[in-house]
Amino acid sequence: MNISAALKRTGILLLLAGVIFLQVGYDRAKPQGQEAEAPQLSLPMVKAFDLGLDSAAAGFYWVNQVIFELPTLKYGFDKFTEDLAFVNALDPRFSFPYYWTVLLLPDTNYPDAANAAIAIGTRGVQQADPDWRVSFFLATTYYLDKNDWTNAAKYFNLAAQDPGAPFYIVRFSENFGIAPNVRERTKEVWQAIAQSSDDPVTKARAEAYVARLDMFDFLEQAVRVYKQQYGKFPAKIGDLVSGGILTALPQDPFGFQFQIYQDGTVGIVK
Amino acid sequence: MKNIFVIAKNTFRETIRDRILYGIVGFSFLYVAFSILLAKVSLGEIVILKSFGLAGIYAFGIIITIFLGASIIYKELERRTLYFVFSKPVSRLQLILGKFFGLYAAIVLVTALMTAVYLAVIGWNGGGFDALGLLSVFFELLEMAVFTALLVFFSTIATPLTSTIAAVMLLFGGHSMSSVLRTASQIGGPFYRFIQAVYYIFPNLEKFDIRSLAVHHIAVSASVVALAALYAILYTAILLWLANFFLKRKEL
Repeated sequence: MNISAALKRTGILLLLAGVIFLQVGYDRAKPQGQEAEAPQLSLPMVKAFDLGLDSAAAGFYWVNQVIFELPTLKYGFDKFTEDLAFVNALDPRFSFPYYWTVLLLPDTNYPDAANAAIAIGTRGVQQADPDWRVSFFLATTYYLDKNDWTNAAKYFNLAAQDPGAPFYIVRFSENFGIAPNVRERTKEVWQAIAQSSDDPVTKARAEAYVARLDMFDFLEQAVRVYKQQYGKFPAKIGDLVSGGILTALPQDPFGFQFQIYQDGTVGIVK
Repeated sequence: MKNIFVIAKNTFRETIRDRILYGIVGFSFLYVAFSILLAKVSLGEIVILKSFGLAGIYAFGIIITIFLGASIIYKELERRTLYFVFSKPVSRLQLILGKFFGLYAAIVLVTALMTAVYLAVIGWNGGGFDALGLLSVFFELLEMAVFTALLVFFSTIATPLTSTIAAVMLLFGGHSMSSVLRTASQIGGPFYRFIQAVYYIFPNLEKFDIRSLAVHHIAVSASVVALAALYAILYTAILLWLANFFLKRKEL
């Protein structure tokens, strides 16, 4: 039997269309029930068979399974906790699971979600690769959910020191708590950290934060003197020197430029 | 030396013309596309891209080595082409070495191609030049040298299916040595001493795995690199010597 090439191609296309049609039909006909949860894998078993590819196995399990559990905790709290612990155990340095969990967990109905997020984030800071996102989201959790100023300042500072942190994160983190209404509180926090820390780097940075907060107070004091002399606030920070109030402007230890707002308070250039 | 080079060159040509190789390399490129997709799902997380890329280079390298190496000597025996080779002034050892270097060169070439794609993908996704990733591929090539020698050795004494099964078992065993030894130490006694003997005698492939360190930017010391390279050279030499030993005793 002689079949033309065009007929053959049509036949193949029809067969393919039939396969797709049957798959669509099957998907519609299959019993609709609750989606079965993925089984909890045994860590020694995975480690024995992944040929040392622990990092890839952790990444695959995280992206393929656990990441989608988090927003709704569809399989329950215990399953999520087990799955996260499994990913962390496979590759403790993999930072994504830590910061993603710290970011999203407080908004779920996980029991005592803020404290759970803090515990996971703290573990991430200790175990994972240095990643500004872990410490930054941990700081925001402390600040927003626990109103814990001390730990928020501590972890914002850590986020600002990460070499991979974007400029806007460094800027935000290093300027946490500089507004006049909270400045005293921030200063107390950094003084306490400077006095209690054994780590010379942390101690030096805490002292720099205190000195910098004093600079804001000092500059605002100079602004008030300027207003007394000239009857108006200076238009720019340099007016304090040109107006004879200061001989020189202090240098910000973190490298930002000071500016004066319309109400006479001092901040940093955006 | 010239004989070894000629056999190696022919083995290399034969290997890179093998259609199975193209199929596997094709799949490896599909895998790269899958890795990129996975990284997109994970908000462009570079750790995922790196760990999957390095895992892919390793896994496809192993698959290629097994497919091409399991029958490398056996098929010459079956086809009786060895009679023709040995009618020339070629020793058993020269044949073994030529086969090994030819196959290994093909594996290095394919691995280099996959690595080039990997480095381009990482660079394209903002990961810069992944020097540690490159070092981990070097370690993988050391492992491939041992594994290729293992397959050449098995190929002289067993059928391709048996060689494949034995090599795969040694591959998994070689990557689980530390945990097996740790478990055995809890049991203690003669069993532990037996496992200790296995630990030191059988190929311990864990030392060639620095992928998890590479994806997390943790460098390895020069002594670790040197020890791993020396171990690979020594173990490869032992396996090739054993292959020569058994091929000499084979009735052709």
